[in-house]
Amino acid sequence: MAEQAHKTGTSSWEPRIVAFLCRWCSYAGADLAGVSRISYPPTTRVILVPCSSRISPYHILKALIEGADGVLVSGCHPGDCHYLTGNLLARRRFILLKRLLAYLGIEEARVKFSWISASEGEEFAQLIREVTEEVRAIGPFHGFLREVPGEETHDG
Amino acid sequence: MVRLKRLTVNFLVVGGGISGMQAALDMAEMGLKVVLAEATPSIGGHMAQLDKTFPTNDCSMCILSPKMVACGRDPMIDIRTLTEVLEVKGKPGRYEILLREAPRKVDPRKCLGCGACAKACPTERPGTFDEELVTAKAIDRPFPQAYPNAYAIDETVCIRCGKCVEACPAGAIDLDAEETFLYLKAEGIVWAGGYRLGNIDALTQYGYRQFEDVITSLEMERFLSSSGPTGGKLLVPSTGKEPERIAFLQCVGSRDVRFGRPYCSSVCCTYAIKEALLAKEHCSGTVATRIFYMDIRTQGKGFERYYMRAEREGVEFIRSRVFRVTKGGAQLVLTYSPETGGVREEAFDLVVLSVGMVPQTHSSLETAFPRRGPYGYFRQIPDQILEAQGCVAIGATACPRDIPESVVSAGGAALQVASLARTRESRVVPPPVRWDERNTAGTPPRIGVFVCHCGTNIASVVAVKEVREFAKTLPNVVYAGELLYACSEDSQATIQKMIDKHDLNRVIVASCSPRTHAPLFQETIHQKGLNPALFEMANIRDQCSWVHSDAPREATEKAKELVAMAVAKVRTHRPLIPQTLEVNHKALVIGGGLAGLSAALGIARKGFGVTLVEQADRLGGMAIHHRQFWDGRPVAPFLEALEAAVRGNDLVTVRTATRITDLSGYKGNFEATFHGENGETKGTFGAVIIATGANEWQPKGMYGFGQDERILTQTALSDLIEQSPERLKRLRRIVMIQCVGSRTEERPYCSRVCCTHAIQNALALNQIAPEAQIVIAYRDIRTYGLREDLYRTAREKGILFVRYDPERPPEVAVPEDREITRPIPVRLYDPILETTFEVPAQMVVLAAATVPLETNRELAQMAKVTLDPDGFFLEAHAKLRPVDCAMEGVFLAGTAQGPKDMGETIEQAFAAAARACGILSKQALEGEASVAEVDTSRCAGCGLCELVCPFHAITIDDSKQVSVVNAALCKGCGACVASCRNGALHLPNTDDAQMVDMLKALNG
Repeated sequence: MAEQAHKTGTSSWEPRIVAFLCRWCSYAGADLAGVSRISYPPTTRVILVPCSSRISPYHILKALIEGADGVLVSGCHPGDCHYLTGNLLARRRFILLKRLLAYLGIEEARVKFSWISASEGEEFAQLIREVTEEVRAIGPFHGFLREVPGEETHDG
Repeated sequence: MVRLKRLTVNFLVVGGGISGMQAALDMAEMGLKVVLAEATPSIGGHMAQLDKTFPTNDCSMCILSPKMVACGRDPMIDIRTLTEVLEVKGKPGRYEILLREAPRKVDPRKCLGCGACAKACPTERPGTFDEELVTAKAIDRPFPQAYPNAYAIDETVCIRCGKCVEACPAGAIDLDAEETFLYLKAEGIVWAGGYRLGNIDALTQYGYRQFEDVITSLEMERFLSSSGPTGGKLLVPSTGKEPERIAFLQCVGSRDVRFGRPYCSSVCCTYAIKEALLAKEHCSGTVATRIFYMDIRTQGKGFERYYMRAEREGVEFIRSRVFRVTKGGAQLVLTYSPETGGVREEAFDLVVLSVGMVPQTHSSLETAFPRRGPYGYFRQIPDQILEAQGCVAIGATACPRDIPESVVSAGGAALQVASLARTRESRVVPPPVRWDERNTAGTPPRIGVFVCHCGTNIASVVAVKEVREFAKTLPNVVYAGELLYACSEDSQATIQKMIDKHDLNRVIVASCSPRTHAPLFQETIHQKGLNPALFEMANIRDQCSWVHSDAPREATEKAKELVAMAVAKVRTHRPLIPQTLEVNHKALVIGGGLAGLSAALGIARKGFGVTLVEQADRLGGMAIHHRQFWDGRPVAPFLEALEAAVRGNDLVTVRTATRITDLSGYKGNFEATFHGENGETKGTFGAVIIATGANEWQPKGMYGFGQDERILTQTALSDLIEQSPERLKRLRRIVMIQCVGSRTEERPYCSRVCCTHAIQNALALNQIAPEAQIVIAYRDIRTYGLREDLYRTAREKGILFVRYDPERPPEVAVPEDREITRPIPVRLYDPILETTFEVPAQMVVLAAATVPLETNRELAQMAKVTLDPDGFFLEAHAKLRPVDCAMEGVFLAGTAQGPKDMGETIEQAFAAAARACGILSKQALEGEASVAEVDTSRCAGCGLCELVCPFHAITIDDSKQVSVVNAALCKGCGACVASCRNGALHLPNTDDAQMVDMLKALNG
């Protein structure tokens, strides 16, 4: 796709962010941003999931492999989870993933976890602005393979 | 011409706040048809105005909005907004009611909620939803989540200029729409009028209306709310800056005899704590928050912990009533007298008045509702449950109370009116209609994509035609078309026509949010024989055109990708049929005390069988130790009548001296094993009510308890008063000590009933021995709500109240030789006089804590429910599901759930019974459509999924060493799927492979 072309870091490059939002709180918060006409950058593509606990590290890594520059996972605030404790499970998995990403040398800001409630339209918009800016600052994601100076390069 | 509609329903609910909504929902669950009449343009009531709810700080709108949608969707609930009752005639079982429905002038079926009309409207008026802090237009929607989600014209200010009619893209506005009269025949009426903040204009000393920076608690809620007038920024109105010092003044227009409102409003202490905590959260700098109070009344479940948390987080509590608020420079100056004496002045930036509640009145309804409480309240009395009722007042109309208490009262009322004779006949509700479905298995996907313009809401930003053309290029898409309004009636016909013409077996609608609209389109395709799961939406309005109006090019690209993702996903969707669960139409009630008896009576009167199991060999539980309800009504005759009614009902099986040794199954089908006199027996039940009660703690070692028989608990004193009052006649000095074992580190909760109980006993002693001096040593007197009258009476009778600090509790010196004639010296430190004095008491009465049963843990494990940190049973949600358990089909009644008095116990028992009847009324139940599935060839039986499932829906089959999903319990959250290391678990239609397909589609 055309986007692949401007992934090379030209000035027209815009980050691409995959957002996994839970149905009950965060997706509703994103809808509220719309109902309230609060604009934010058109950088995200939302995937609706029943609960943030549906998301495993696999989905986050897969999103990056498939071409996303950043990934956002958002669930209900602690205590608000429609499935009682799903958001807490998600958080636990996410903390583990964070350490893996750091080990792999992937910038921390590429992957974000947050809580957004159904009444936080403005907060959702602000979150997207922040994530967009942070990912923009790091630049495009070039995959898990990197050139090592002085050695033969892998051909992805 | 007068427009008159005739309707016959089962019940009328007046008032669409949380109480009314809950009553309507509970009745609808029982298969009863309800008209829900609300005077304003939207249901939701006061709860919609609140920012957060105590004690969990849950977002109020987040938890309310699903209830509103549920009311709106329920085919049994007919919501009538802008509607008022004009006249009520008749009697229980047959009422004739005349209602007037004012013209909304906006057709809710056509209104898109786009707001073009309000933008065009030139007329402004005070915005009532925002407590008149901002203006609204004459055509307005009170809040974005309103139901019906449509604008409405305020007739009283509209100048009929017609600008809105021109601006409306959907032709939804008709300025000439007229009022409608409804002539309703109903069997019963539930009145959920709610409350309003009392008018405090006469209390000029607080400077409300005089100073801009003195605001009410509800105004504070709007300032804190992110959808409020300041977008959730807490600013001092006069300066526009963040406040540095905020004062909260309690009991403004409550507990004020001179002002004519002597009662306690019951909720203000905890909401002031909430607002103080939220103010700290909202302000960037440090903000000092001081609460000026008389007694902190955090008597509800979890409230005492909340109070302790506020103290830890720096909220200051000052025990003093503020004399006056004046202006000093830019700030407000409070004059008050601290406990240590003298007069102090202190400056604040913002003053929040915790204004007391008054019940709403409704003159044309009041003839049907006997007024049983003082101060305009329509209190419920326990005797009412002995017979089915035609009219019940609930929520804050009945007495001042908070949200969970209102929800409980709503459930109780629903069952009370629902047990009227005629309604009982049609007691089992048939399942919803399922259309015949086509077999799509094995046929390749044939996808139809419908791209919506939503008038100009989408089309003005997104190039709809381009999206449509792009959709045609996507794999398996055999048709792509545009719709002006996908949700309109004619569009449904178009979608159905295209399904036939192109033999579609998958449908995508690219329009608004699936949260609001998926059920509509799913019904549309279902009518054409397509399983509702063969559907997907692309949200190109709420999450695209509305938020990217400044970037139409990018918005169009985004819309195309969202459609591509939806196509990639729906290709592999498969039909899902929710599991049908048979329902056993009998309930099991565990515990034969007041709660269990009441619940059993409620269920049996609705026409269902009940087995009531009691461990002891008699019924009545703790209630036999109580003489009176708080209002003085005697308990014994009531209890006798209740037990007789239960035992006399053929539908009830009473099993005393019986224990439950096993409980398994799920809603609709529980299996219990009993161990009783006849050995072991089994039974199956559709629903279970836990009503096992609580105990009075025996405070061994505290205040000399156990060392001298003249040191006893309040319950023991109650028994003495009842059985041998002559032994009390010669008493001259009695000391009562409150909070014995409550509000401590070990038990950080308030036992709720002890203050009222102690005062009742003190008043009884005062009658038996008028000469006796009674001293009550307390920390805060918590005679919440209308019980405040008792506290006042006690003070008038000369009963002495001495406050103590937990750091310097009373000291009881038990005399060495136990001569009955020698008094027990009790030393009390008075923090006001700063002196210690000694009372030679002839009796010391301890208000011992209410404690959970030790057997709760065992029962909780059997029933797969949870206990709270204090050992009581935990409800599914502190606010809106106070009698439900996380385990569906199990409900809570009485003190098993937490301390409460007898009236509250009865009400909660009825609420639990109502919820249980909701299940028992169904012929069959439907499970979730998308539930986890196990690929046994991959499962290693490691048990991680069993561990993470919050609903205990997965177990490991020991013989095969693989996990097994109980489809009846699974809610389809997918936590197990994400946890499985082998990829052995799947969630149909939200599966890993489908998410990967979406990611791939996104990147071409």
